[in-house]
Amino acid sequence: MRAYLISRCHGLATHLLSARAIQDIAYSRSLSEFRDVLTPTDYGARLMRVERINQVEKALSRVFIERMNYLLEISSGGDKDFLEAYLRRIELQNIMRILRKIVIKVEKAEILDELMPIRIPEAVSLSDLANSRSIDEALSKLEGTIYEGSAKLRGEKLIIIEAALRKAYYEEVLRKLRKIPLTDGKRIEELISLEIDLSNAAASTLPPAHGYNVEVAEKLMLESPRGLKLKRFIEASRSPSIEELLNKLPEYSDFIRGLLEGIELDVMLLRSLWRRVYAQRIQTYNNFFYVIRYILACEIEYRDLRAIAFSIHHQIPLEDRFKLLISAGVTEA
Amino acid sequence: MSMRGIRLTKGFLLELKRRLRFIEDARRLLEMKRDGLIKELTTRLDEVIRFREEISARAEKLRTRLASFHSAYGTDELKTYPAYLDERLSVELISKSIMGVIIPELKSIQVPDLRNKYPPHVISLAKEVSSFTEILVELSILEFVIERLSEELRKTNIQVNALKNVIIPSYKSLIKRLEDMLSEEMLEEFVRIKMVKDILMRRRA
Repeated sequence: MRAYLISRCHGLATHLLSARAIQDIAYSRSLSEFRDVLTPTDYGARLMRVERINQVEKALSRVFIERMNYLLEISSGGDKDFLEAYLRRIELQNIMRILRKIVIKVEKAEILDELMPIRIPEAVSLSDLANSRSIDEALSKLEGTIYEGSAKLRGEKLIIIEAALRKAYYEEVLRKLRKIPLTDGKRIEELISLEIDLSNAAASTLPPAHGYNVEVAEKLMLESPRGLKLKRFIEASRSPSIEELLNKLPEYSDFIRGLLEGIELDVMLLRSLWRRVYAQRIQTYNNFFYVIRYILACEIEYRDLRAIAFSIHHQIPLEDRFKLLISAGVTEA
Repeated sequence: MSMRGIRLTKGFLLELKRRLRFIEDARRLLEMKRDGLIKELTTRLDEVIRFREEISARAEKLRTRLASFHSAYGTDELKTYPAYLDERLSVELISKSIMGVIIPELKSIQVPDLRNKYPPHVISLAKEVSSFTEILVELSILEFVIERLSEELRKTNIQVNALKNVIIPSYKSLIKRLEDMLSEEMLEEFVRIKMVKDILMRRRA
């Protein structure tokens, strides 16, 4: 079944837009032109009768989720277990958005309507969670789930709760990684470590650049299995200046510089992950890692198209528009 | 001004003249108030123009930043990021009187401390929004003051114009008419006395 999953991913990857095609789409002058260009692609049917920008955003996210749901559908055994754990990042995003919407008092119907409908066994009932009247009530519903660690953080700041949720997510993914063959598992672990390292690097900039307490930055950081040691990030976060921070983290100095120059964090993070994945394209062509590569490519395509749609909507100049494209900053996607 | 209620007496004329002097004093005072208000308004308008130039440049920069954030993270992320903030901006105002116009003055502005609250991808945008909100509060107070001063200037101008173009001229014309009538009456009286005197002289002769 693994071979089927990998070969299906190869087939499905042919549906993805190339980096060049995405850059061409970025030249669209209006949303209708954007829609027309995407008509012959997987997005065509979803975008057909769509007019408003929020409908475009929803249509793009639905295509991404459908792709992920299809992967879950055709996978089985340990692969399915791992993919469910890996794609729990979408559930995590849903949970974090629900918590924030509880704080800003959004109606339950609206909360549920805006969730990403990923088909994985729910760690917690999102509908029940959206019913909560306070963060503490919502946290109590996380007891007994994989997110139990954050349930103990009642009364804590939202940023700390979210960090605990992320930590629980990564722990679950790394636990389920044991079900994946060793070589693939190692590569995936490296990729996840890079993702954690980049988040840690971003958190380490908070005290010197924005005056955060080191303790808060520390709580946002996670130990990565194959990345830099956590204490290096903690040490770096104690730097009195950015220059010193850059000296302490030379591995991620470009990333930190970009972040401080105003490039969006997720754009840089996904670019770095894609560079890593792309560098391993030959060795991983027939491996399970290719599935992860496909998932990442889908996410990059979805985010790039969403960025283009919003750039058109906000009339962002072309040169700035390209700065928002993940695929524009890396080799052919 | 109608002649109803007007007595054709010298005493009444003197009373009218006294009233006119009072009204002219009031006009002069109102003109001084108007000039003072214009001066205050001009200073504040210059300030608001400078402020607006700065604000529109910053607003454009912030709009671009928000558009960029919206494009990179989507609507949900943008919509929900205020959830991280557990405090609200608070503004303390005091009242001040300028030429009798009560205007608010910013005593203090408490901007929530953003440190330790936002995740790394949001903090720089949150800081920009926060500092923009701060100057937006200052601008809105300044605009409110300008509105109050303008309204007072409009009222004062109406009062000055009414005094200058309607009330004072009508008083002046009434006084003139009264003076004319009184001098005519005096002349009549003089002629009458002269005629009586002539008759009496003729009788004596």
